[in-house]
Amino acid sequence: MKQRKKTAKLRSDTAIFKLGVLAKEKELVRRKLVITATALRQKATQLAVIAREKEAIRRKLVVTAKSLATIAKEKEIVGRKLTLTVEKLNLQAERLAIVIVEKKAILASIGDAVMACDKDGKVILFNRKAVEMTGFSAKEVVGKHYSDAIKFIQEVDDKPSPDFIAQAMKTGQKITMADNTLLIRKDGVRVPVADSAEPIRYVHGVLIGCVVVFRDVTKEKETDKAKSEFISVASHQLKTPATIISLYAEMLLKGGGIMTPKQREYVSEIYDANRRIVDIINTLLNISRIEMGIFSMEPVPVDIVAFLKNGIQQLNGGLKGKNIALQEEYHQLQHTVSIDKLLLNMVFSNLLSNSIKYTSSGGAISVKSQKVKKDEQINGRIIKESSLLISISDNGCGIPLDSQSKIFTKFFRSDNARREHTDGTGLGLYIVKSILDQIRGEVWFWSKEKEGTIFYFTIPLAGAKQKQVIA
Amino acid sequence: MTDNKKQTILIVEDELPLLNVYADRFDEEGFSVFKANNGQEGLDIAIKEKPDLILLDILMPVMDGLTMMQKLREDNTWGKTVPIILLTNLSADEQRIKKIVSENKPTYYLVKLDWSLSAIIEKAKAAVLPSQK
Ligand SMILES: Nc1ncnc2c1ncn2[C@@H]1O[C@H](COP(=O)(O)OP(=O)(O)OP(=O)(O)O)[C@@H](O)[C@H]1O
Ligand SMILES: [Mg+2]
Repeated sequence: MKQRKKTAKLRSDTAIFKLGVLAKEKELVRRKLVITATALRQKATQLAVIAREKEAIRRKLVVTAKSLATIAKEKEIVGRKLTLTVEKLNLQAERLAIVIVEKKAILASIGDAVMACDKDGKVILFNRKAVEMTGFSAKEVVGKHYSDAIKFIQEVDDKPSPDFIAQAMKTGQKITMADNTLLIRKDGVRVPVADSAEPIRYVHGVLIGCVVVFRDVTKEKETDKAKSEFISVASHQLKTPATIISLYAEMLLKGGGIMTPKQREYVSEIYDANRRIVDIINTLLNISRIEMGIFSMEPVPVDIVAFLKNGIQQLNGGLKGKNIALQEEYHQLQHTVSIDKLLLNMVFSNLLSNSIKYTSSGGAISVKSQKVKKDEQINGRIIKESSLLISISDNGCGIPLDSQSKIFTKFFRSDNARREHTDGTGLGLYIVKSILDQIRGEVWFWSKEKEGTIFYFTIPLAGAKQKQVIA
Repeated sequence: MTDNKKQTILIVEDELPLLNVYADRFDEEGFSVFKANNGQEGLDIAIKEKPDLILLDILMPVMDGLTMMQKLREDNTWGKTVPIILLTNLSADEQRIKKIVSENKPTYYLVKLDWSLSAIIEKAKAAVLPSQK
């Protein structure tokens, strides 16, 4: 029994224990359940968030889809536009090509020779006319420096012309070639040309090159020559009648008491007017001779100082008559240069008589001589070669600014000069310039209206070349 | 002036008004004047009359002044030495004329237009002076 009891007790104890364990387990399970519940709640919350996010994404997707559609549409439009642009570009390219062809055609067929060079002076373009005129092919010239490609010389002395292309590029200004320039063709033939060089500049004044245009002036020269010949012949025809008037008027004036004082005055007027006609005829003859190049140039040693003094002496009447004070200033007591006396006299007497003519009574004139060297600068002019510089200054009426550029043109007279002196041909300075062109001298001036004028001219020390008339 | 022996001058000029005015002026100055209209006439009169001085135009019809002068200077002892004053319009030819003048002494030249009658008389008197001595 005891055993039974014991067993029973044992059993109950075990049961109690078991129950305890169970309780503990239950507690654990409960706790776990609580934890699980919490986790579950959390999960639920998370799920809700996710669900919300998903919803948002979905919504976004819808928006994206919509904008994608729009973009697609836009792309379509852009695509169309691009196609259009391409078409337009093609068109423009075609037009450009046409323009280029046109330009090339113009350049090629243009009546003037055109040569373009880059900023280093390398030839980059040489048109058809240039080829025709020079005898050089474009291939022979393009890529070379222009000075190696074509040569320009001065007709007067066969020396190379001043480099007007370099000058244009240096100064940035259009430079016109000097008169009487010859181009030497490939075959050595000389062609008279007139030309100009114009620098080409980019937006900010950056030099990119130079365009040189030149043309054959053989025809023009021939026309000029015909004109000069006409003037020459006409003047010659006028000489005899003018001489007859002059001599018969002289006969009357000489013959003491034949005429009344009034009649004598009339004849005297005829004589004076005829003298003017004679002067004009002489001037025209000189011009035609110079222009046709048929005057002879006979350089002889001339003491310039004595020459100037003598020239002044010749015009002494005018100086005294207007009570003009004359100042003379010579660099040396004498200075001998080889030059044609007659031509030099025409230059100096024209300039000095202008000074006298255009200075009022009581004015002042000065005549100066000095030696100048190459590259020296005298009143804005750069001296080209060692020379004697003669200047004639006056405090007369001066040359109005707007007339200054025309002063060496044939027949030009400024308004102020015309007002004061109705007589005058306007040929004096043209003769001066033409003669100096022939003897490599130069002439320029400074002037201010109502203040005065200074004329400068140079006589090259190297002397002039002999030139015979071809009879 | 040597008694009743007038200085003689031959004027050769194709322009009549000029010829006449020269003639009148030289007549006034006491010269005995012969007139000719061209070089051929001038040559004939010159050879016949042997004037003391010849005033000679250059540009003339039939025979020009330079040819007449050359002919005179060529074949005649008198012609070789007679003083000649050339009247020229040809200022362009100065060089050539100067040369001819220097080769045909005694010859002088005057450019028409640039002189007066008194200048011609002066020149003429100076030219005949040596032959008077
Ligand atoms: N010393 C000077 N002072 C003021 N003006 C001058 C002077 N020299 C020249 N001129 C101007 O230049 C013009 C041209 O001069 P140019 O000698 O060629 O002709 P001109 O004197 O008018 O005529 P001509 O020489 O036949 O008498 C003059 O009309 C005058 O206007
Ligand atoms: Mg003048």
